[in-house]
Amino acid sequence: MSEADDDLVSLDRWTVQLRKGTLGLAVLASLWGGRLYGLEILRRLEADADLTVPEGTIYPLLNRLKRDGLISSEWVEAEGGHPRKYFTLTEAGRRRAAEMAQAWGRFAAGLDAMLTPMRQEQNR
Amino acid sequence: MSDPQAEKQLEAYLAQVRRHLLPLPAEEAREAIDELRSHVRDRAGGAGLTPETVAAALTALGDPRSLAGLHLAERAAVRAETHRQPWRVLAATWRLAGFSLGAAWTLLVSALGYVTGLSLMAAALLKPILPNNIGLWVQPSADDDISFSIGRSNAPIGPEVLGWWIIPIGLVLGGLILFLTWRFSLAGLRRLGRGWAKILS
Repeated sequence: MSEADDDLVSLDRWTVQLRKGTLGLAVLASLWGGRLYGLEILRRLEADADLTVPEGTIYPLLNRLKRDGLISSEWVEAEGGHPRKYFTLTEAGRRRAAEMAQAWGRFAAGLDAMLTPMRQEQNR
Repeated sequence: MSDPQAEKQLEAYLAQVRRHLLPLPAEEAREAIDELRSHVRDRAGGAGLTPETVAAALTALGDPRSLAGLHLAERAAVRAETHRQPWRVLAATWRLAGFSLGAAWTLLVSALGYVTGLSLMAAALLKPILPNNIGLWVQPSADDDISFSIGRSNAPIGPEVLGWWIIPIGLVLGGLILFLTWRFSLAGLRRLGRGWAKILS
């Protein structure tokens, strides 16, 4: 592998870590406005946050959030006849989402401040 | 509204996933399959299931074994955090051993560790009851090599070297091996669970 390829691989790896770290918050945030079903959550993540999640991975993640008491689920009969599993934030989930959003805001603001000189130089 | 051929395709896929979900409790496995079925129907949209929409959905979901693996790994991660008692960790590893080489390996090593540790502790506890049958004997073999045997022996040959020291040695060494085996099996379970986090990429 060339050096350029190596760079690409490690940038990719970093990006993956970044997405892993924020996926939980993104899912909780997607549910802030109301209940959604699995495919809706996936589409919301892609549309709003440019987060493409492999489709099979969303359900174990949602199960994990449910086990942690942050979301609840219920099966609802959908139009077309097939039952659909809707997910909703619990009270604990709303509190956690708000806390995580605050922590994210602080972190992002700090990092942005550090990156400003770099960005200014790149824009010159 | 849905094409029967497409329905068959979907159910065949789900049956494969279900097979790989055997380590899960039946209720959880059923729920996981129902979720996937609903997901594919949602993806197909108003047109209903056709061979094309089902094929596209199943491609996006990926190979049934890997998909099932995500659920198993998630469960392993949860178990490692919530059930730390040695027998529960062993039971969880046992359930996963059929699915993962890592789990099978962890199970084997843990089994050896627990048997060794328990044997040493048993030797220590049995010494006061069977003093002449529990011990460490040095048995010179015909080739002048030294061979050792430890444990209960009805016809010990050669000198016994530990005497009553086998009690503290057996308890301490046995206890240490049991503790280290427990930590090893817990780490193994956590490693399996971390694999699930890696999959989010």
